[in-house]
Formats: sequence, C-alpha cells, structure tokens
Amino acid sequence: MSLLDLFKYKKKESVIHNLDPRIRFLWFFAVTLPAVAWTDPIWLTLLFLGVLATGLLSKQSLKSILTPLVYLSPAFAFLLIFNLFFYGPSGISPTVGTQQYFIGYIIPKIGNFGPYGRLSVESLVYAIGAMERLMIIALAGRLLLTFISPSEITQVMSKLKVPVEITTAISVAFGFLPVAANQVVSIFESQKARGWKVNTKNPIKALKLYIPTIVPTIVRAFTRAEYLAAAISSRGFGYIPGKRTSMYEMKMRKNDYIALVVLLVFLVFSELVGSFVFNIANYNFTSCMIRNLLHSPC
Amino acid sequence: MSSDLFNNHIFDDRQIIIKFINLSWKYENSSKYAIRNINLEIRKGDVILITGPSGSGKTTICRCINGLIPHFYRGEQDGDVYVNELNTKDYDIPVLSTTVGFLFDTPSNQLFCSTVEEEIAFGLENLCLPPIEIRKKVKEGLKFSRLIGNETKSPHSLSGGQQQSLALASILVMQPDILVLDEPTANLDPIGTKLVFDRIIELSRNKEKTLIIVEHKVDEILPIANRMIVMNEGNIILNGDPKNVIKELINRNDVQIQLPDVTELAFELIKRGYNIDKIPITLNEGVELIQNLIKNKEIVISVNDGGVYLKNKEPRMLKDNVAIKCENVEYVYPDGTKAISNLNLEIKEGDFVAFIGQNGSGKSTTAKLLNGLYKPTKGRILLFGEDISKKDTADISSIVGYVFQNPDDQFFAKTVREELEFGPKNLKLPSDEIKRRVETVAKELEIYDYLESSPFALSQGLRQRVAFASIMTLEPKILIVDEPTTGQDYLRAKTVMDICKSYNDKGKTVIVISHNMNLVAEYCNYAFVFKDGNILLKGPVREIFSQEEKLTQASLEPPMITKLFNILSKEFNLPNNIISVEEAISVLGVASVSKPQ
Repeated sequence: MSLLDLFKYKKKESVIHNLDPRIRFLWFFAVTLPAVAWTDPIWLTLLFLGVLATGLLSKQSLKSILTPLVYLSPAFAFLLIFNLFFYGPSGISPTVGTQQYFIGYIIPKIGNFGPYGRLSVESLVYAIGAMERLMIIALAGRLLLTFISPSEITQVMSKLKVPVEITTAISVAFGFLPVAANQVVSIFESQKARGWKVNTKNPIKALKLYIPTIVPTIVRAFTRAEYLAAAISSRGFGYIPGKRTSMYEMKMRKNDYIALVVLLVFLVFSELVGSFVFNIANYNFTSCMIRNLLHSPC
Repeated sequence: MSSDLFNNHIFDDRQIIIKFINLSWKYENSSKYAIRNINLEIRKGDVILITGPSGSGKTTICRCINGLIPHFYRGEQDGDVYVNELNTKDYDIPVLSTTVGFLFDTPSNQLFCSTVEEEIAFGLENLCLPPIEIRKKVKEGLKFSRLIGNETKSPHSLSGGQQQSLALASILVMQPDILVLDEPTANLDPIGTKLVFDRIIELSRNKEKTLIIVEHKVDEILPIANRMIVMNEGNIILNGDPKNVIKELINRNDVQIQLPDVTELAFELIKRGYNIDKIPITLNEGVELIQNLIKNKEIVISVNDGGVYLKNKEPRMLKDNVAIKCENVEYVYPDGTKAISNLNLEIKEGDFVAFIGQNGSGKSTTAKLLNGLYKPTKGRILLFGEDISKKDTADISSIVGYVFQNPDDQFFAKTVREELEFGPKNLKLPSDEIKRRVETVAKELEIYDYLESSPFALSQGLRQRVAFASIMTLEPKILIVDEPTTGQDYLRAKTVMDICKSYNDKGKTVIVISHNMNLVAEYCNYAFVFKDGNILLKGPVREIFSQEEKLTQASLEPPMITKLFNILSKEFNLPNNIISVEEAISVLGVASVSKPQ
C-alpha cells in the first residue's frame, strides 16, 4: 500500500459510509473543534479513542488507521519536545500563574554543557495534550478523506452554494492526484537515467540541482491541464452550470438525524467543558491531580 | 484516380450530419495552416477512417467537429463547419457535446473523477439529467465498457484498454449522434487495443452512430469503414470507398501509411504485373487471394525446404561477450506487488533485442532493473560480468542508456545543446569531451541545426530525436528504448527504429520495448516475450512469431503476414515462418517476376 493509498477514498458498506455526506462533514468539525478547545490529555485521550472508534466503524483495520500516525510521528515528537522546552521556562505556569512542580531537565548538565529544558508536571501534561490535539486533527482529517468521496465533498460544497467551477476543480484535483504522482515519478526516473543525482546538504544548492525535475513537472502539469480542460468541456461541462445535477441524491434518513442530534449535543457539550466556558477539559485538571498524588497540591 | 474518390455525389439519401465548407485553420503562434480548404460531407451512419502522417491535420479536423476549434483552441478560421445544421462557430462545446462525443488518444488525460461510476456520470450530470436516469445510464455504460464490478475503483487503477473503454462509455451514455475517436488505441497495448476495437466494432454494427475514427493501425478499422480519408500536410488527398482509396495509394509516394500486410503483399504483386481486382484488407481475403493465384497457377511454388524459411536475416554482428545476465531476479514493488519473479536472461553484446508483452507483464520493470532505477529484491544482475545490484542509476548511466517513452518528461534546459550536455556533465566529463560528444551525436541524429533552439519549441519528431541524443551523449554500451513507436505514425516509428539500428550497427547492444510486431519483426534479431513477470518465450524473432499458439498465451499476435503463411503452409508447400512482405514475395517465387507466367 502506497502512502497515497492511505489517504484515498474507498467506498465501503459501513454505518459511517452510509451516513449523509453532510453528517460526515459535521463529524469532522465535531471532533476537531474540541481538539482545539481542550487541552487536558485525559479528555483528549477519550476524544482520540472516539475518533478511533469511528474509524473502526467505517470498517478500516486498526493498522490502516494508525499507519499514517506512524508516518507523522516525527511531527508529533517535534511538537512534544517544542512544548516541553517552551512551556513556562521561568518555572511559572503561563496560564494559571502558579509555581510548576519541577521534575528535572530534558538535557541534564554534562560538564559545562546544559542543563536545558525545564521538565515539570505541568509542562509534561501540557505537551502531551498538545501532541494529542495534533494527532486527533490529523487522524480525523485522514479518516474523513477515506470515507467521503471527492464528489461528495463537492456535493456538500454545492449545497453550501460554492460555485460549480470551484467544486469541479476540487473534485478533478482529487481524482487526478494519482496521475500527477506517477508523472512526478516518471520525471525523476528520466533524469536519473541521465546520471542526475542530488548529493548535497546545502538547501540552496539542492534547490538548483532539482531544477531538471521541477521544470518538466511544471511543463507537464500545464500540458495535462490543457488536455483535461479540453476533455472536461467535451463532456458537456458548462452546459447549464446552475442546474447541474448529481448522480447521488443527498437525503437525510433516520440514522442521519440521530447522528445529527448526537453530534450537535456533543459539540455544545465539548464547547461548554472546553477552555472557552467552564474550562473543565483544561490540562490543569490532570496536572493538579498528579500533584495531589505527589503530595504537592496546586 | 477513381472518379468517386473526391466527390460524394453518388446517390445517397442519408442525412448530411457534418459539413465542412472551405475550412482552413491556423493555430495561434503557428506560421502555417494546420488544415486548408477542407470540403467534406459526412452522412448519418457513416463509419469513416481518417489516416495520414502525424501533423497532417487529422486531429484538427476532429477538433473542428466538436467545437474545440474555435472555442477552446485559439487561432484563425476561414470557412464553416456545420454539425447537425449547427454552425460550430455559433455554438459552444458543451452544446455541441450533446451531438458529438469526443474520445482522446491518451486515456489518463481524459479521466478525472475518483471512481469509475462517477466518471460515467460526469457528462450526464452536466446535461442536468435527473439522478434516477443518471444511475440507469451509468449501469448501461458499465455494461458496455465491461466494467461491472469496478464501479468504485479509481479509473487510474484500470488497465489502459479498460480506461479507454471507460472514456468511450462516458461519452456514449450522453447519446451523441456522432462519435469522434482520435487515435483511440495509440497508447494501448495489444490487449487494450483489442478491447477498444471490439467496442468500436460493436458500435459500428448498430449503424446508429456516425463514427469518425482517426487511426494509424488501419487493419482493424478498414473492414468496418465505409469511407477512408487520407490526409497529408493539411489537405485531404484521398477520400472515398476504402478499397478504392487503397488502390490509389499504390500510385502515390507522397504519403506512407502502414497498410495491412495482405494489402501490401497485393500491392507488390500488382507492381509485378499481377491483375488483382479485389484488394485484400483482411487476413481471410489475403488467404483467398493467394489460394486463387496458386490454384490458377499464376503463382508456382518452388520452395521445398520442409516448410521452414531458411534464409537468415542480416547476419548478426554478435560478439562473444555477454552484455546482460539476470540470475534468478525477483522484484517486489514497495506496495508488495511482485512484478518480476525468478527471471533469468542473457543478452549478448551487439544484439538487437525486443521485449514484448502486455502492459504490466514486466518488460519495463526488467528494463528499469537493468539501469538500476529498481534494485532486485532477490537475485543479481551482471552487466559485462559486473554485479550492479549495489550501484545506483547515475553510476550505471554510462553503461546503460534508457530512452523514456515521453521526451517531455526530461526537457528542462533552455537549449537543445544544454539538454545534450546534461548527461555528460553529470558524469563529470571534461568540457572538450562534452563538446565533442554533443556535436557528434547532434550531427548523427540530424539535429545539429537545432542545437541553439529551445527543445520545447521543436516538433514531436525532433523532440524525440533530442531525447535519443541526450542519452547517446552518455555513449552507453547498452541502449534501452521504452516503447518508442507507441502513438507514432508509420514513418516516424520507422525513423525511431532506424536510429536504434544505426546505434546497433556500431556494435552496441539495443533493447527495444514495443507493441508493434511488424517493426519488431523488421528490425530485431531476438525477442523475449514477457508474461506475468517472467519470460514466456525467447528466441530469434522468426522462431517466436512462428509459435502463434504460444504467443496467444501472452495475448500477442504475430504480424499478419506470418499468420497468412501459417494458414497457407497447411495447404501448400510454403514455409510457416515468414515475417515480412519482402520474404513473402521471395518464397512465392515472384521476387524477380515482372509479369505472371
């Protein structure tokens, strides 16, 4: 399975796939908004499990759901370390203004080197939460792409009165992604066959060395775009744009209404407990709990 | 010239559905007209074959019918085109698309939806049909294209033939009266070509649609066409009943078309004074012709060599060295697909070899293993005795040159000279050596005058020469050419093969990957037939093509002339391993005959 396949829509018979595309879109917002509003790792773990459950309900294997996260693990690791380093370096929690519970340093003092990166209960909890937020957004986005087809995306956009030219362009871009990827591979192979290779770590030099692949990629993209536009016009695109119909009819059924209510209730709930209203799903909840266990109450 | 060749005044009460009146068209930024003073009437139900060299104006004619000219392409138009009495100047492409369906030559350039069923539905959605009717027609389209069960697959995951059938179904469901098929099989392998031709033949039988088919492979279309148009340099030079047009072609030297082998054979017999009224265009007609000539004793067979043609092709200038050796090679793609399994092959230095087989049979993968683009997952590859398994492509590029199918995948430089210098510069050669190589190769391939031109501004034929030259400047001992004849007209395909031949004449090893069996028969000494990632057959091309039944296992067919003699050899004392018309003339004992006895 290629990396591209992991993000490709696959039509399946599942509870999720059978939902109205608008509900699937709503699901995405219902899980990503709390991921922005919440900072507490426990709450976020529950949300992550909820997203994971949706993936399983869409009849995808646990491995295929988690594989993209493995690919993205360097980004998660970077976010974790970045937050550990820059969370209240003075020792005071930036959000609540209390003294942090100091654990040690990420890089201890070795001779004259260090120490760097204050590690505290608060910074650890906050950094894990930040990492989880990115994981949830990435996972939800990837899952959405696998259970909503490009044409369904355009249908939803059409319902939102986005012009048909834009929705078709988006749909074509999705459909054409595999061809574009193969094209790039072919161009790289053509140049490698002429002895081309990039063996510098200097990014400026590397960019220059990539010109033999960048130019044909752009030229071929333009030529293909022209062919595509001719093909699209030849199939009647623009006949009566305002009245363009769709093979699939979007109709809300019983399950869709149930899902709609559940998602709306969850959205309201998530915003209420989030940092904007009652501030319950805040990382201080967990960090204070840990400090209580360590006999150092907040 | 027959009197009916240039007019359509023979009584015919069928409605005129397309009419060109003095049409000339010049593309923007072009100095010459693509087509000139075209006058043409096409009637409802016509099946028209348009052929001619590349750049003769065939595609421009097609674009004029569906309104791409003048609404999509910019340029200068004189004269008018009427389609179903609508002047194409006054009606835009979407309106004309309800009457004219247009199938392009490259499948991947006309499929743009995420699933097969969405692809078929696209046009119907544009025509604002109700969803229930769209779904009904999508089912019909799936049935026509033999793609039931593939509804939710990505169109780009299908084979080339399936993709083109899908594209055809996608326009057919829109129920146009006219179908314009612009080289529909140009980029397909033999299986794909058959799949698409079968669909076209199915359509022609219904006689409901007007079919306009542009093709270089005329063998399959000639039997179903009721008219044939030959174009050259923007003009219609012949137009009429296919058999009459073909008869006229014998007298013309200004245009070269790859006609069916049996037709070429009949031409050669006519040139030698034989009176042939009915020019054969199908295999059966060819068999009938030769049978009658032999039975009427107009041809007296003198061959008596046990049914095998013994005369060798040109003596092979083979060296004793083994240039390429693959030992138990296996290659598995990163996604887990096994492309090559337990491959063993040996190619001698100086040989001219063909890799033939369907797309996906392992030809290109093997070729890419040979130049290091892919690394074998098992086994080893030896080039001149040296294991290359751990070398990268850049290191191997001076030994194995690989010319890709599409020259546009490699051009990036401002001038042809820079393009040719790119390879030798990557090899870090001294500048005087680079200059010497560039100028020598440019002279050999007759592109010296274009060295300071932009490669992007050259014609397709010249661009292909530049692509060859840019590899030849690496002076590889082995040259691999990937499908150089695909989508090319006969003359251009021959030119490409001539370049390969002249390189081979220098003692270099040449491997050509091709679907054109006639050219393989004409140029190559040895062939490897690939099937399912391994070699099904290998041997001298004559031996390979005489094993028709085995070739069928790889869904390949030998050249028509070989098939003809395979049939004739069962009835007469004739060899069954003939691979060219020239050989056929020789064994029929008419090579030196000026008049029949």
